[in-house]
Amino acid sequence: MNRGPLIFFGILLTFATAWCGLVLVPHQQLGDLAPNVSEETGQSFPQARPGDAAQGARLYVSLGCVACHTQQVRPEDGGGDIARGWGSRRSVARDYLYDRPLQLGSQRLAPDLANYGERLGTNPPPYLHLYNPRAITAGSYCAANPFFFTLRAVTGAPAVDALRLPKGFEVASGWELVPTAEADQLMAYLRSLRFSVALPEAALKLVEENK
Amino acid sequence: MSQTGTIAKKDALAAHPPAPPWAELDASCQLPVLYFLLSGLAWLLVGTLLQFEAGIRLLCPDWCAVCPAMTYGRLVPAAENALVYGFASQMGLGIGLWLLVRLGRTPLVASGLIAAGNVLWNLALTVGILAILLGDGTGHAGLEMPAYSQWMLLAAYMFVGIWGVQTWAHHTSGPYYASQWFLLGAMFWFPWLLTTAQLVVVTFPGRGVLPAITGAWFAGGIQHLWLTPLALAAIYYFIPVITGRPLRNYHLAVVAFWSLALFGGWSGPARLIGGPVPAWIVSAGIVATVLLLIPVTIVALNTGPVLGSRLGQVCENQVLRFLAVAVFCFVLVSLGNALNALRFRAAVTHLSLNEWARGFAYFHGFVALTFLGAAYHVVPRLMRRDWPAPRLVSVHFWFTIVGLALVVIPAAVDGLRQGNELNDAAVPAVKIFDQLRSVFGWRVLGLALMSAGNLAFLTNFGWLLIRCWTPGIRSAVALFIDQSGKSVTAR
Repeated sequence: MNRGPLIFFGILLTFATAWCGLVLVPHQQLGDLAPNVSEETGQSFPQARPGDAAQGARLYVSLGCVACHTQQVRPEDGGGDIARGWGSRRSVARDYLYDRPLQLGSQRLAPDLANYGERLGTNPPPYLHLYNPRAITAGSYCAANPFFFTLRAVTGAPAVDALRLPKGFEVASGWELVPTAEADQLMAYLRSLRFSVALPEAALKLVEENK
Repeated sequence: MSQTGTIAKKDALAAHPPAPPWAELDASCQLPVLYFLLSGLAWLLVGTLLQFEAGIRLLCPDWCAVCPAMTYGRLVPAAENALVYGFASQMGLGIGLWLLVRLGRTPLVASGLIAAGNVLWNLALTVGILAILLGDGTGHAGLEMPAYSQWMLLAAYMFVGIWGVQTWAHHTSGPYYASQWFLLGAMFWFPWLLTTAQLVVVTFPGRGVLPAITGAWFAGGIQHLWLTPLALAAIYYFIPVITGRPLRNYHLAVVAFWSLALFGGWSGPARLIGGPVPAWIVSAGIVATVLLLIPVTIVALNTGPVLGSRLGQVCENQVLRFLAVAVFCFVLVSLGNALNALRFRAAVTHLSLNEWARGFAYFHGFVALTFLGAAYHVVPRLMRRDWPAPRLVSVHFWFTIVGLALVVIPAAVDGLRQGNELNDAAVPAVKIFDQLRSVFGWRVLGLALMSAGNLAFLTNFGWLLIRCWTPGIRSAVALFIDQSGKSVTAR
């Protein structure tokens, strides 16, 4: 191999195959993917996030929650995600139409959150976990985020949304911890994480409850 | 003088007679190469310390919790970017430029501009890392630095790439060596990778999962078309030069190069296995990851017999030790990656610490050890002076190896348990994650050792520079004091 131009041409060509195959063709294939409108209910899925949840998504990205929490449900033959109750079907490309940037994740040091909103149901959102995960799960190594809460003196009746702190985490009496607007946005985002809607390319699977 | 003499003699042995003017060639690239190596080393220390701090945050999550800049989720991408763009890219470029000069027997073109590119590069990177820590990261996996800093990085690269390729083209002696193919490839692929990823992922992101697909292609490209060829260029030069033996089966090296060029570009999407992307994309990635065993096998066939036949020298030589462990890690991790790309294995190991451990071993074991070993060879030649503290080189080597083992082995082993238990719905998730703590403990210990090793290298480096520059500084001071007006040569 002693011809410079030949080496150069080969270097461009080999690279171009992968560039066409993995950049151009996927854009061709998925570039015009649109939300699915259900024939039965007439509802469109997925839907863009409302303002507060979209703001929360930015906080989620900024804090790097994706370093431990994935947002993807693998198919039944490719892992135990569905059996574990992390989703009622595998995640598909259409689920992420409004996710930008994508938070798929590459490490599972903590539970998957793709369907966290579904799991949460009508329960109150996990403000306490956001404040200090150890207040709920002893031994958790998840980061505490006290900067999302304001410590203030109780004036009159305690605030409705003040944290109810367990033993060992209390603040001084006469004081209360109140979530900031950012904490509310983050919770709105977590609540919006759900894709338990059947799609033509991914039917829902019935899952036994695993507790 | 005697030290300089030893180095000149070694060089003369390594070269074909008549010996080219090494001193002149080295002088032509001294400034930029030295800049790249020194700033690369500094970023290695920064990156390892950020990884160390991230490990601490897992062990003591409540410590420093009021400071969001020190949260785990920001430390991890900050560390990765510091290591890939700060350490590996800069060290690789520094050593690559030196190799282009040596192998082409031609002085470096526009070394002043390349040095300026280095300054801009470090500026871009500092801005990018600070932005991640302060919460302005993009959130795109592998491309966390904000667009403004990435474009700056690309501009800085152009200074290096354009004049680097010019130097490559000025090559004056005989056929091109394997190292030169790898360097040319890397220098072309990197700007193409970064420009595409910047445009399609960060600046004008496509809909839905498209940025993830391009991001995976980019991550595979950075690994196999940027860091790997830079490291292999060094391996293909230093092993035969230091052992004094030609590489075995050298005619196969050309196959290694072209198969790496082809399959390296396609290998990225294997990391999306099980993800929400079309199956054919993942399948292409899996096939390419398995086929990457072709260049890996050839690298083993080229270098293995040479290293094996000089085992005594490998154990004693400061540079060869690093390179031998690097080749070992390269082969082992590539085997592991090929095996775990297969769907039935990926169902267990994907997203687990086992996968993380392989990535860590590839970077810190293969890429980093290659560049560190190469730097131990290059710097004394650039400065015409041996390392002032050879013992610190051994300290660096052993601290790094032991640290690497402490980080990688527990994570690889426990990652298998983690993956298996996550697939078993009967095991509560809390219990699975809780058991990972011991791995984090080993990780912190290992990273502390590795940081100490890197500090030993920096100390040695600083000491060498001070020794080299002391006569110059002294004579300048003497000149200033007695004002005698005698002409004093600094070197």
